[in-house]
Amino acid sequence: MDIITAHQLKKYYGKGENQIKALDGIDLAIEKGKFTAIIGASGSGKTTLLNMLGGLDTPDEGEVIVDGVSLAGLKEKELAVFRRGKVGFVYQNFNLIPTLTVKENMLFPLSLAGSTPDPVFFQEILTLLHLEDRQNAYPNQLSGGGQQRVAIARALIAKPSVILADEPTGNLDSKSSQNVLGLLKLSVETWKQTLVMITHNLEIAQMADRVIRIEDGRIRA
Amino acid sequence: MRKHKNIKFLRFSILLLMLLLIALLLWLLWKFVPRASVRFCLLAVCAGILAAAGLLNWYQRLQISSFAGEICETLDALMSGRQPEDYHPYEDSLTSRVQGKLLQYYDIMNEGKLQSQKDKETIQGLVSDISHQVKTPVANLRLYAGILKNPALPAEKRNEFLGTMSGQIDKLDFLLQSLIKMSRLETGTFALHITEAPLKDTIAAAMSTVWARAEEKGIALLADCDSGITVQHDPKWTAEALGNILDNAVKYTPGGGSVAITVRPWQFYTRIDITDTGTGIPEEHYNDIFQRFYRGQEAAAQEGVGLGLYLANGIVTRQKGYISVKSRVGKGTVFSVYLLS
Amino acid sequence: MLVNNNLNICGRLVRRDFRFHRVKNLILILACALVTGLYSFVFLLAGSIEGAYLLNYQYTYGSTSHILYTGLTEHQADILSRDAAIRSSVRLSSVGQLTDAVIGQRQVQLAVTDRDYAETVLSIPTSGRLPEQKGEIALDEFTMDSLGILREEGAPVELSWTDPEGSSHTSFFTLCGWWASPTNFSEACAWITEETARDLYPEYDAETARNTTLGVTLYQPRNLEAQAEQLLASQGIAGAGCTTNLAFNSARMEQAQSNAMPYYYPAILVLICGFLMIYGIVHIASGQDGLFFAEVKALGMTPRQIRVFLAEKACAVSLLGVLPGFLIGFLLHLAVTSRIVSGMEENPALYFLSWGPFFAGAVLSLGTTLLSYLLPARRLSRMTPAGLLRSLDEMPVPGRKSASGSGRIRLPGLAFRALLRDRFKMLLSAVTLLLALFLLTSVWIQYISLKVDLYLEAMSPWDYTIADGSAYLSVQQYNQNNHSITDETIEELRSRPEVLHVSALKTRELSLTASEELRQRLISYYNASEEEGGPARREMMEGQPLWIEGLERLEETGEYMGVAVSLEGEYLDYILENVSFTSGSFDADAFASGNVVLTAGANAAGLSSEAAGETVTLAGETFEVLGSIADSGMILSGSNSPEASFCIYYYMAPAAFDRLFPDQGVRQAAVSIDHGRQEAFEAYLDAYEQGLNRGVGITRRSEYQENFAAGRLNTVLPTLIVSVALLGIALLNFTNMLIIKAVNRRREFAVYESLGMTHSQLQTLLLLEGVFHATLMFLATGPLTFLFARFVMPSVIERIGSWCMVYTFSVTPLALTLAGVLVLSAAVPLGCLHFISRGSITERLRTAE
Repeated sequence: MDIITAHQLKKYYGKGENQIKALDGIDLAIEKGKFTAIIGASGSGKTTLLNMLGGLDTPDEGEVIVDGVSLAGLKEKELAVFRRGKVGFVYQNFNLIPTLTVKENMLFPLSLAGSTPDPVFFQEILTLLHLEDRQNAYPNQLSGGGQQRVAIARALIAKPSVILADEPTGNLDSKSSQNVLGLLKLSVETWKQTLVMITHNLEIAQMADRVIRIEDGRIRA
Repeated sequence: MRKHKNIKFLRFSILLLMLLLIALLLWLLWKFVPRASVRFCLLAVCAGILAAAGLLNWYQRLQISSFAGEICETLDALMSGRQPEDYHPYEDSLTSRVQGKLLQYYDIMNEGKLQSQKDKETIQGLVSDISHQVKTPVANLRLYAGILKNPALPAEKRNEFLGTMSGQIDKLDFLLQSLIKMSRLETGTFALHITEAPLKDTIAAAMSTVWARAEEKGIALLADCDSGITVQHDPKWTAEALGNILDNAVKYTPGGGSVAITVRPWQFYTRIDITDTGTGIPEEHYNDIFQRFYRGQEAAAQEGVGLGLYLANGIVTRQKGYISVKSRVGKGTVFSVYLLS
Repeated sequence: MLVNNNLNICGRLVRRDFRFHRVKNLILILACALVTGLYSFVFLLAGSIEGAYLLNYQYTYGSTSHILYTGLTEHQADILSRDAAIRSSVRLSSVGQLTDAVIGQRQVQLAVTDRDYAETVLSIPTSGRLPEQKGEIALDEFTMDSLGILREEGAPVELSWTDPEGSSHTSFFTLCGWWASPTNFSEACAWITEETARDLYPEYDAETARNTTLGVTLYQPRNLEAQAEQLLASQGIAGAGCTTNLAFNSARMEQAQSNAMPYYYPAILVLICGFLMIYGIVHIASGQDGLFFAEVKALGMTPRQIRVFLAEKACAVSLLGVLPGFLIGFLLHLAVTSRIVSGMEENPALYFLSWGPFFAGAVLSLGTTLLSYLLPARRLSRMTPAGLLRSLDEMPVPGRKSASGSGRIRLPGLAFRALLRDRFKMLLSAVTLLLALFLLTSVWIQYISLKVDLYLEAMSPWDYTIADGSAYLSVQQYNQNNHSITDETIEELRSRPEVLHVSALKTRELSLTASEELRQRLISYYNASEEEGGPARREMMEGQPLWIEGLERLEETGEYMGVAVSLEGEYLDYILENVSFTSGSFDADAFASGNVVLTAGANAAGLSSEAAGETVTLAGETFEVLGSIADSGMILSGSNSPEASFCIYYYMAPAAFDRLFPDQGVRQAAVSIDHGRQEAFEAYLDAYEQGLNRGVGITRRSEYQENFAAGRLNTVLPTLIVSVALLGIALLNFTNMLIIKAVNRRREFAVYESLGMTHSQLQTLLLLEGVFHATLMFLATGPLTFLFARFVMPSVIERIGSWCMVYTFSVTPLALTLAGVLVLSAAVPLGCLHFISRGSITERLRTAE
């Protein structure tokens, strides 16, 4: 079953001569419960595509349908609810909120929804990510790898249906990046989530159930 | 129970406070306001305010009961297996929150149903696979048995055919074993006893299964594993999985090459690399090699059924690990097995 | 739909924001405090002005009671005071009235001590005490001065007085206390004990004695005149006099409000100032804020939550700044109001303190803060998170391809490119600076356009005015029977060597009957309107009840009061120069002959008195009217009697006047001296004043000059304060902008340095940037301000229409401000440089923050 489908996505920047076609008519379908990797050279439009799938950006043409609902038809408020419940983001630049502790950062999407986490599940994730003793620290006290773990925990804790990761290991050394990948794969298996990851690393792409190649804003077979 | 009592007490005290305040208001009005018309106006206004507050209270109750109604409706819909009607998934309300959670629960419950359905299909697939694969050896056996029935067969021919037949029976046996393992794997009817056991022993066990064949082909078999490393795994089955990979490696490496096993412990996983200097696997086929009954074109001449890597992948995955492969055609292949530390 | 209860996270974010960004929030709180203070100050000032006008009216009236009933019996007073509409009442039982000739037209009542009543007429002794024993008396200083009583406790007092029946007595008392009060010009009380009263006039508290005055305070002081009559009618009391407090006269209250209205306008300026200031400070971190918003929107914060978050931040900042703001407002009020409102015993700042302005200030400041937080958020809420991130990183794409010559770039070129960034912030800066400069220039030009010469020429065309003691202040009623200044005094002054001219003026009130023609003419004149479709002239005089009474008397009976005035010398010259003839023209010889008069009714166009050619009979003699002028007795010191509130003036030559009234004292004299010998004359005046034992008022030219300076300051003070604040804010904004531009480009500068730019080159770069910014500011504001001062201000000055304003061109504020801007644009970037170049190059390149 396809959880995300995109029809003829197009995104252009600039006008006339200087126009950049970030996405030039992309059709794709992401299967539920599988790990899909998106590969491409830099500037090929991977990040733009991922942003569209998660509702962080609007396409100039085309539409994205997630779980039967078209994102274009959603209002700002509904998009916000969509982003916090349905999708979990893991970004390259961590984007943790500097004024909240690690624990509060992890629980942020849940707090926005007004719910509290399942305590057992929360403890599980903490243990798995080796963050139990760092709960009350602030992001600037953590190492790069630590911050990345917090970001992953944040993406996982709301048990979203879809996890979107944009080169989650881009800034990490090889040891941490292996761990991060292992954890993502693990959670996808355990909780039946869908993982879409951007990477330019073929090795990582191997682990995926399906690989999509993007080149100059188009999908290459 | 205590909560109930507290709420009752709270309600009672609020009502009491209201009565006291009304009494105070009446007293103030009678004492200080001289004109009767003003007095009654003030009382009327206060009564109006109370009425408005009451209306507000009633409205709140209405909302709460409609909330309960919506939830019950949703549950009814889910129980009869259809999608709830009035469902706005991305509304920022309490109703949507509860509905969302209910739907999640429904999905999880549904999964079980779907899972058992899938298992049934898998078994059917297995049965058809088995019957297909078994067909050839059985046909051969029948053929040879038929030939052997002929008493006028010369003795060398008879021995030749008998040899071939026993070969076919071995193959059949091997096939059946693999199929049984595969079926157990698929239906999950075998138990994995995952313990924290030293890896070195497991690797040693795996190596012992291919030692003979490697020696035969003149392939060097090396292992580099720290004796102190332990992983979460089932030693028996993991040994089998590693054995399958090693078997593959040895099979597709020409004589004089080497197969090396290196172990590197990471934070979450322990990585076991099995490097060979064999023919290599083209990139397009990275995912295909783990499928059932896949055999590369180059390996058509070799023995094998195409289940080894499939089984290994299944075992490792069931232990919450994974296998990845990296290869250069003509130079060699590295299989990386990741197991939870 | 039950809305989701997910607003706790907003509160938590706000608290953390406060904990982490202490400095920025402290600055914001101070800014809010300043805004609250300015609002409170503006409202306090305007309120004080209005209150001061009303208080002035009250002083003129003489009592704090809403209605005064005179001539009641004690019984009637009892009944009346019990009416439901009356909140409280005070009573006065008078024994009689002082009739010393010296007291003249003032009414001083001999009354039994009633502390409450004394308080309402502000007649509590400030030295000594109220009488407690028999024979003691407490007096006010005006009376004491008139009677020549020594200011000592126990001094002997001899008074002649008349009792209600009409018989005169002379009695002896001892002084036990005295006071000076602004309400005692026309009426005062002399307090004695009950014993003494009974002694003097045993029947003072008899049933039929109509000697009780009742002062009542109502619950609802609206339509006082109607209510006063109604109270009497409802209790069936007739024959009592009643007067209503001028401070509650609706026309007067409107007048007070309209006088105070211009002082409310600065509130709008404060709104703009405050908004710009807070917006500017919040905007400093706009880059980081944009990032923050992109993050939280990506994580799923609904627009409602974002709004609540911003609103909570605004409320927190505003509320924390409320108390300091009140303090600031109060201090400003303390400093400024006492300069503007003068003539009060109590400190006007404390007297007019009320909670209303503070409350309004807090509410408005909260509104301003909310506006400055929420307005930018509207723009943010429309964008998607990715879009937001893109807009933050955006560099202005050059429109056309600039044909760069050799491709080399020099420091000035680099500095110039920096100008092209952040155009919105620069626009904001320029606009606030322009606004501030406009205001400041306007205020400054107004200030220097007020010419002291014109003022003095109009107010005091002559150097000194010597007036009869009873005519010294405009609220005093001239006692025409006084002889404080006689013809001899005038001669003495004329003989002084320093004196150039002395002109004497005498007046006398006459009871006249108008001819039918005159009566009709006056009635139709006052029923007509001054302008097309405007209110009738008599309606415009609603604030003067006595004048209305006089007009009504004329309407009903044809009787009116005339005032004969003898004009000579500088007085005559002044009148002829400054008033227009509504009929006839001036003939010096005819006037000097003493057979003609000039008539004057109202200070407006149209005929409001006898016309040229008609005749009028004054004190038995018939005069021909030479002409009528538009004047209402403006040169007269002091005021006429209440009956002559509505009157017609008859100006004549001294010869004629002396013929009619030979023994009249001088009302006022105008003295011009040789300015070089001012000191000597002032010494003479001092000696003369000290040797006086009777009332004579001397007004010196220097006093007018002081008044002018004070008045000039007062006109511009409120707007000046606000425009200085606005200028401060504009400069702050400019500094902000410079800081932002420098600090946000840390990475860029690190790149420059890593490519080999030396420290001094970097300094030069920043300096050049600063200079370019200053130049830009100058270009943006300079020419416009210049044009504003040159072409717009003259029409503004004209519209103000003050008779002592002459447009004077000046660009001093512009020059000073631009000098300040230049200094800032050099100092601030260099100061920032130190902060920017902290840390090694790689560190600076790495930090994304």
